[in-house]
Amino acid sequence: MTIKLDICCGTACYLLGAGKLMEMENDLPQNWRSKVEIRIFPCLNLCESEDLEGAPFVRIDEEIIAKATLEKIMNRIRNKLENEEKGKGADHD
Amino acid sequence: MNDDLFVEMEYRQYTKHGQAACGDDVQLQTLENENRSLAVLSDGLGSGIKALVLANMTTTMALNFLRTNLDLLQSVEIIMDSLPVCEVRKISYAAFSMVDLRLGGTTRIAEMGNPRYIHLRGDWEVPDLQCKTMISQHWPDREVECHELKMEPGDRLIVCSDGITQAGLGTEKNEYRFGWKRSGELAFAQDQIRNDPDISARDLAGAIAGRALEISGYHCSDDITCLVVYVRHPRILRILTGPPFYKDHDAEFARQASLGEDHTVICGGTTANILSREFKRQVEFDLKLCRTAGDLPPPAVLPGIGLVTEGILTLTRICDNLDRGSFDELPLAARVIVEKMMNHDRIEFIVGTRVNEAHQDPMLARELELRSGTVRRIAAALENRFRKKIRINYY
Repeated sequence: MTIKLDICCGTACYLLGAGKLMEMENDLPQNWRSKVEIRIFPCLNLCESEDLEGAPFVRIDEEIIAKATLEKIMNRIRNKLENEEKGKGADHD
Repeated sequence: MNDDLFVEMEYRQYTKHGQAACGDDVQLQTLENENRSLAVLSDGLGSGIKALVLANMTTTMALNFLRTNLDLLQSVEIIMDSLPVCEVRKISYAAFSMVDLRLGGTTRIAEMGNPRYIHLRGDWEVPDLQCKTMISQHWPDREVECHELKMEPGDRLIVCSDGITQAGLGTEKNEYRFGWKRSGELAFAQDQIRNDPDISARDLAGAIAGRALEISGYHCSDDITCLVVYVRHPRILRILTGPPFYKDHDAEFARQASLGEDHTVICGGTTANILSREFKRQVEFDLKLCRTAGDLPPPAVLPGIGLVTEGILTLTRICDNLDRGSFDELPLAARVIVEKMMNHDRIEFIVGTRVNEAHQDPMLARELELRSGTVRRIAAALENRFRKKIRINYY
């Protein structure tokens, strides 16, 4: 199953760092690339929400990450991939 | 001006090899209230800065005289009397063509020294039926040719400096060793129109000047200038930017995006989302563009509806560059919008006035201007510098 990584490139997100995140395909380790689908959105409409911490926003599957950085995103993807591996291992037991 | 017709006037120039400035000059003006469009092309004696000074004095005077309806012969005499005398050639000289186009009326053209104009209706050259020659008593060796003609919708006028008709002159063993000539230029223009009957003045002027440059072996021995005037129904570009103030106006706002993908631009993430929702289509990004987008978010497409870009940052960049008149180093999204603006005649802005609360963040505020002010500045630059017709509607 591929992980969907949605990046918002609305004005606020772009100004606060989404521009760099849009190019993160090259930063993904080779063996992750087929497992992560990067999609760009004109605006995820999250910046006006008061409950969230602040731009830039990305969405990994259904989970929203505020103040997203490359590091935060990588960690979250790594977690998801590891959990998936574990799940598979459990199936085999 | 007649609301159904637009007069597109565009030109392209190449500078003589080795010179710092082009010695031809063009000035254009649209007089909206009088249904008139004025164009003057002058080729200054010699080349470089000196020629440009002569040419620019000529176009400046000629345009003012045309606008104020001064008698033609008197205009020419004042111009000739005023130009400084060349130390080398002992004459004061600048060739010129003056066009006074009146929609629905008589168009007058006065020429001295430049190649004769070309009047095309489709690919057919309209014969010159009313030409009279005038000679000034001050300058008996100079002849001014005056033509009167009718410009119909779809007609084009091509006016050029002799750098076009003499392109290739003197090159050995070449079919153009006697120059491209007016007949070569005419045949080329007719071919261009047969291939693309709606070719814009900008593209046709570019094609003709480009071909002359090619014939010269990319080494112009004279300044090249081609001016094209095209009377036609306006190409309309509609730019939607910003969400409407009232949410229940979204559907009506979205209906404005009805001119087709090539003629609609959607500036802003929230705006794109409204249109995406109303038309039930997804915005499509090309990830590969991210790497070449420069320092603005990349452009995207709402299929069948229009081009999609980020909003205020992109508009601000366009605004700054229109003010300066340079587009070379614009990031991709701004560049594609500017190209669309240049390729259309009437630009309509549909501006939503709801303020994005997230933009009021003190961390961002200094970077972000108010949308409607930026749109008004862009509109003023397009109108004053690029002779576009503008409409702005607010939602």
